[in-house]
Amino acid sequence: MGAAATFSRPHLFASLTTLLLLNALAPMAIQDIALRGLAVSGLNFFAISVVFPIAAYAIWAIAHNAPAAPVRRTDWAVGAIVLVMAVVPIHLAAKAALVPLSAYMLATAKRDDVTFRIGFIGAALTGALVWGALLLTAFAKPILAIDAAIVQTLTGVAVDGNVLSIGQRPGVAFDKIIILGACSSLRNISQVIILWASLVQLFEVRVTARVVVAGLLAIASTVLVNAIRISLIVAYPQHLQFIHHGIGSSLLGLVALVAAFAIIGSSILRSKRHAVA
Amino acid sequence: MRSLSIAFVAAAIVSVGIKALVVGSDVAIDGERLAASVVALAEQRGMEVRTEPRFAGIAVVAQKGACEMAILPLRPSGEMDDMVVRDLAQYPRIRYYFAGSLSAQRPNFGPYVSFQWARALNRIGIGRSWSPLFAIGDSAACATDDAPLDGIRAPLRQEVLPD
Repeated sequence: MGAAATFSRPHLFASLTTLLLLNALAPMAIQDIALRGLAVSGLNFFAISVVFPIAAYAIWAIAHNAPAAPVRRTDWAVGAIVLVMAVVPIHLAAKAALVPLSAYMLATAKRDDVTFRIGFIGAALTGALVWGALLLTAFAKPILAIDAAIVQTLTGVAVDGNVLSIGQRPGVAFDKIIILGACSSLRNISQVIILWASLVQLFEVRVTARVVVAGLLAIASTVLVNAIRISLIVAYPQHLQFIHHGIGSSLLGLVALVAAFAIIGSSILRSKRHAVA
Repeated sequence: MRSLSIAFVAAAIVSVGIKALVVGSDVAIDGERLAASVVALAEQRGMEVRTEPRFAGIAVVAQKGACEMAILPLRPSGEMDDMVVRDLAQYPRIRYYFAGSLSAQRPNFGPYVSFQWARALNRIGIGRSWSPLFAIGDSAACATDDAPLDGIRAPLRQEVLPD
C-alpha cells in the first residue's frame, strides 16, 4: 500500500490545521489552568471560546466524509514546515503558520474541494488568531473608539477615545472605564466569522449574498451584545466583577453566541431548503 | 489513515507538552522597574524627580529649571494611548520615545514587534531585553533636543522586563 493510498489529502490538512489550532490555544488554556485550577478552568472552558472547538469539529467532520485524494509531494513539504512551527515552543509560530497553511489549501484546491473547505475555515481562524491582534496593534485607537461611541449612544456617557468617564459614584473606587483590546467588539467579530465559516462549510452551503448578509447580521448582533455589556458596566460600575469577569459576563457571552448561531443557522437552513426545492 | 492519526496525536502531545513546559517563562511589562530606570537616568542628568501613580501607569515627573517633563510607559498594543494622552494633557507637547528616537507620531509596529520578539526569545530560554515605548509630555521651556531626553535614550533600550 503506497503513501497516496494510506494518507488522504483532506485528512492530512485537517490534522495540520487542528495541530496548529491546538498549539495556538494551548498556552492560554495552560495559563488558565495554572491560574484557576483544573476544575474551575474546565467550567470556564479553559478560557477558550467555544467557536474554536466548533471549527475543529467542522474541519474533522468535513475531512471524515471526504473522498480519498492523493497527497501531493509539495503537501509533505508544507506538512513538515507546519510540524516544525507547531513544535517550536512559541504559540505565535503556530498562529502565524496558519496563514500560509490556509493560503496553500485555498490556492491548491478547487472551490468545491474538501481541502478548499478546510482552508476556508483555516483562513477564518487566522482572523481571531493573527489579523485581529495586528489590526488592534495598528488601529487600536479608532477600533476601540468605535466601541466607546456605541456605548456613548446607548448610555450617554462622556467619551474620549476609548476612555469612558462615568464620574464619581458612591461605593465605586474609579471614575473612568477604559475599553481594552480584550473587550473590543473586534474580538467577538473575529469569533463570529469563525462560527460563520465553520457552519457554512460544514453544511456545504453556497456563499450567496443572503448567507453573507446573515454573517453580517450575526456580527452586528455580537457587537450590540458587547456594547450592552460595557453599557451595563457604565450603568452599574459597582457590579464590575459580575459583569466583566463573573457569571454576568458568561451569560452575555452565551447570549451573543446563541444570537449569532441562530442568525447564521436560520440562514443556512433556508439555503438548504432552497437547494432541495 | 491509522498511522496518520497516531502521528497526529503524537505530534499534538509532544508540541503541547513543550508549550506546557515553557508557558511559565513569559515576560510582561514591569512598570515599576521601568519607572525606576527613568528616575535613575533623570537624576543622573541633574533633574529633580518624583513619581506619580496615574491611571495609565507610573508617571515619572522630572524637572530642571523651567523645563518639566512627565514620562509614561505605553503598552505596545496601543490600547492605553488615549488614557496616557489624558494623563499628559497638562503639557503642551507630547512626544514618543522608542529605540533611541523621539517622534511626534507614535510608532506602531516597532514596539509591538520588539515586545513579541522578546517574548518569543524568552520562551526558548534566551534572556532578551526589549525597546520600551514612552510618551513624554513636556513644558514649553524644554527644548526639542533637551539634554535630559538625550540621556534617557540608550539605557532605556536595554531595560529587561521579566515577569
